[in-house]
Amino acid sequence: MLVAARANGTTAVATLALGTALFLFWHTFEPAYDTAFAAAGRGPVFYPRILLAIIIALAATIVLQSLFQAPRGQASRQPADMAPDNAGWRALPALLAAIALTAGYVMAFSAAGYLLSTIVYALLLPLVFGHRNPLAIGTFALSYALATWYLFEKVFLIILPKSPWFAAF
Amino acid sequence: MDAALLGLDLVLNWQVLLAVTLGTALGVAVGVLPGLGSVVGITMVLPFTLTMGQIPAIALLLGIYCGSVYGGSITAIVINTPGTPQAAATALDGYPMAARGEADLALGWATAASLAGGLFSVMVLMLAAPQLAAFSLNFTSIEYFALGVFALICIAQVSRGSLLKGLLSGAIGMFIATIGVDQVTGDMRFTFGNFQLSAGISLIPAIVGLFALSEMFVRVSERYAPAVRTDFRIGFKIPGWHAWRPRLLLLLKSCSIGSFIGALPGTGAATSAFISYAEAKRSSPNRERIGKGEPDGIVSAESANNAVTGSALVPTLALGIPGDPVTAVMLGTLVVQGITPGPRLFTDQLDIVYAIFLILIAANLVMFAVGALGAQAFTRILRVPQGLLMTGVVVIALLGAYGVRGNPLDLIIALAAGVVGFVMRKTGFPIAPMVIGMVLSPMIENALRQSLLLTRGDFWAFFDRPIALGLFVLTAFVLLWPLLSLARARLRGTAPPLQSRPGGEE
Amino acid sequence: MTVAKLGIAAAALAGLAAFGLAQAAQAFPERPVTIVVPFSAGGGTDITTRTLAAPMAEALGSEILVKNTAGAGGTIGTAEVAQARPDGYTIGMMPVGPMTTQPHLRQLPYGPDSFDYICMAYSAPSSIVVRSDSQFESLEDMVDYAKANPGKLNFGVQAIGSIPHVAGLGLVEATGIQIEFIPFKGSAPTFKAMLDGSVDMFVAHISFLTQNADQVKSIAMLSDEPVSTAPELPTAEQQGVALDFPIWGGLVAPKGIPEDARAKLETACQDGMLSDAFGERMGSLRMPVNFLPGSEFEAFVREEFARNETLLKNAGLSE
Repeated sequence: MLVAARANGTTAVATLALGTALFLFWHTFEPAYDTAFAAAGRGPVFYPRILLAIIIALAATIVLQSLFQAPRGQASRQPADMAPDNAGWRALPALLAAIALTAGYVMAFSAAGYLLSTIVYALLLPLVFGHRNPLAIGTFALSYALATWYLFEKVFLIILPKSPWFAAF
Repeated sequence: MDAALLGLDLVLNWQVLLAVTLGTALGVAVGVLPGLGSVVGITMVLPFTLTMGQIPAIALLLGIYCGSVYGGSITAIVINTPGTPQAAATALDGYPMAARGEADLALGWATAASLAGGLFSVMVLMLAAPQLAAFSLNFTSIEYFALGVFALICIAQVSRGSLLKGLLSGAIGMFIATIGVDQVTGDMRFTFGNFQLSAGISLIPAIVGLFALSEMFVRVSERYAPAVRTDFRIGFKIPGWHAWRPRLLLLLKSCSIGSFIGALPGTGAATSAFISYAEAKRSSPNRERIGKGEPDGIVSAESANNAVTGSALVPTLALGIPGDPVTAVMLGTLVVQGITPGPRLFTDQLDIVYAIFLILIAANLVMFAVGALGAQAFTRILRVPQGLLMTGVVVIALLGAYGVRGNPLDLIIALAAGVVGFVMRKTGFPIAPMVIGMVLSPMIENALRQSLLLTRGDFWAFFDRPIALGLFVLTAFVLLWPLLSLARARLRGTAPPLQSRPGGEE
Repeated sequence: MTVAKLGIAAAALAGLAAFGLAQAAQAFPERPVTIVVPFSAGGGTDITTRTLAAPMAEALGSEILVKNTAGAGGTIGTAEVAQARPDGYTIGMMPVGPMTTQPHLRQLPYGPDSFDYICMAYSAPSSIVVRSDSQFESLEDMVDYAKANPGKLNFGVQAIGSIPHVAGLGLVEATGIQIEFIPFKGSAPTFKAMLDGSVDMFVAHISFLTQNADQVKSIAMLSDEPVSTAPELPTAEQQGVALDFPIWGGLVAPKGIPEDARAKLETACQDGMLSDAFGERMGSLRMPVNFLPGSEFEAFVREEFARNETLLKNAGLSE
């Protein structure tokens, strides 16, 4: 799915869009949207329905095209930043780690406060990229987290989430 | 001319000059940081504007305003993450150019184009503010709807090569913008009972995810690929006259588009940048290279978005209608000191008006200087080891996404948008159309439904309004342009293949 | 694993930097108080809050931070306060809309019972405004015209269910006229629509009237008594239609904060509002300074809550 079969990736994305749009289109017929006070005969789902219909039409066309059109014509459009096949697959664990790590960070951001969660995230994410110099990473994580915390909280006056353990951060 | 001298007198003192310098530098700084925009700048200076004198306060605010519109382009170029939505179009060519190692040149184009756009719009403000304000009142909801539909053409223009995929991406973006409260009926849409989601999916977390997070994921996925280039040039390089000369017409056109759209309250710099970019893509002789690091793309987007700054003051000063929080606070500052906006401001208090013109000019010059000096530092960012660079980018981008509304849900939206953006990039779905869709959708929907209320449900009444009709015809014309030129070429017996359409120059 | 060790060291360092930690419990306030504003920075509520925050902090003897949590008509930020820890360190500047109209429009995770009330911080009259070149000079002119041309007048609304909208509903109920409500997104686009002729009138805050004195005029102040800062403008009441729709806001805390903290905040709020800085700012916008202590503010909120519920129900916006 990463890079190997381009047509298949397109098919998958378009199919997902098609399925979601079909579901949401069906959802717009929920009675909750009917009881609404409609303005000039147009209720809250008037406009989204038009968009969903367009999405359904486009997604269906792309699915069909990706299945029946020869993939030859698309090869030339491959962006330059596309990685060679095996390199892409080798990176899959790292990619999943990066996504999981970021998801954890997003959760910890509110739960454990900005400063602490950022220090941990900034220590771990460079490892995913293959950095192995503990001194550099440690210095970076600490100084960067502290600097951004100070910048937002004290200079920009944007109040950031705090941890349950400390009063200040 | 007395008023001009009085205005000069108001501006030429150290407090004002200091305020405009600090304001502009602060504006560039908040613009550079993804997610943060001028609103954060305001929060910081608000306590001072309440107590400092009126002209210095205006200088501070206008500096922030001009600086932040420009600042967003720096991040767009250097790390492919527009610092503000206004700079999203700049990333399309700025980043590919930087990725070639020419960040210094990309910043040069962007900074010079921003300066040109900013100064052009000050001229527009000086020469035609009352007239432009009166003209903008011809734009009711019906015309806004027509303009929004016209602007949608950009989606087609930025997705050449995979038109269907671009259109789908744009339509999905438009749909995403409908999630949350319906502006017209107050109902919840597509929130499935989730209270946090009732705030909707706002643009900034989506941009942060689609650009910054997806960039990080892409780079992780390519960590075993052959090493990316490391010979990034440092510094700031203004392109020479020979490079500018063929682009002067484009520059003028982009400045005009930006100034005109800026004078319509509530449309904004992001819309004008995309319209201008799409126009360059349609008509520039270099259009085949636009999207791959062509200066035309940077020039059209950056001059148009900065050309909004001056002309957005037209409705602010001449009508009392601020277009965004910065102009609103500026208006508040004026009012607290006993100055009433409105058409009479331009006759009764010309000294203040001239002072504002001069401050804007100064802000644009300072902006250029800050950009030229800052480029030394910004271009160095590219040489930071990839893992640390990406970590830093993601942290600050998420911080910005959170800071806009202080809502933890925005972090989850950013993460989801990051994964979506990554998958789209890997499967050849362009991201920019989704952002354009999100920008334009609320304007189109609200204008459409307001118009239907105003015409009591009669859609055909839209065509009774000449400006709206003109925009609809223009939309049809631009959409049919490829077909028209193809037909004409057929008649001449020299049908070119569809991909290399004949240009718009002849 | 050196990196893990570094992480621990980092956490320890961060811990050392913490202040206010192992200190013995002092009287409130021992650390900064955060006021949540449920709208973006730079708006009217935000500026009023920030203007009040400085003198109030001085009176309280503690730093006051302002946090903007915007979204969904202010309900996200209001819910944040309702669900915050009831220790007095997180309070909210809650305006009329999220407190008394939004809960009737949809299911929200809070209501008037979710809060302890500290003080009313501002309350300014609203007014029905028309263009200064409008043919309407009084409420009567407009009502007569509307009765002769039913359904012809357009009434601009800044947001569905906002006080200006509810005031319009009140106007319809009191006079029996037929008007079309056109919703816009905020006051700037609504004003624009009136200037371009799309709408004939809307309800605005008195500071808006002050700001745009050149281009708009008031046909009725929606206040039950003459407005102290603008006594020359006739009220709706004086013109025979009883409409009273102030735009107000006040400080509230999550239910169950210590009474000592609430009382200290109430006193600080009053001192802040009596300060010169706050008074000058309000005066320049012709906004009266209206303080109410917590108990009276609570009674007022409940009264408004019930009144708006009836209006929204009668208009079919609330079930």
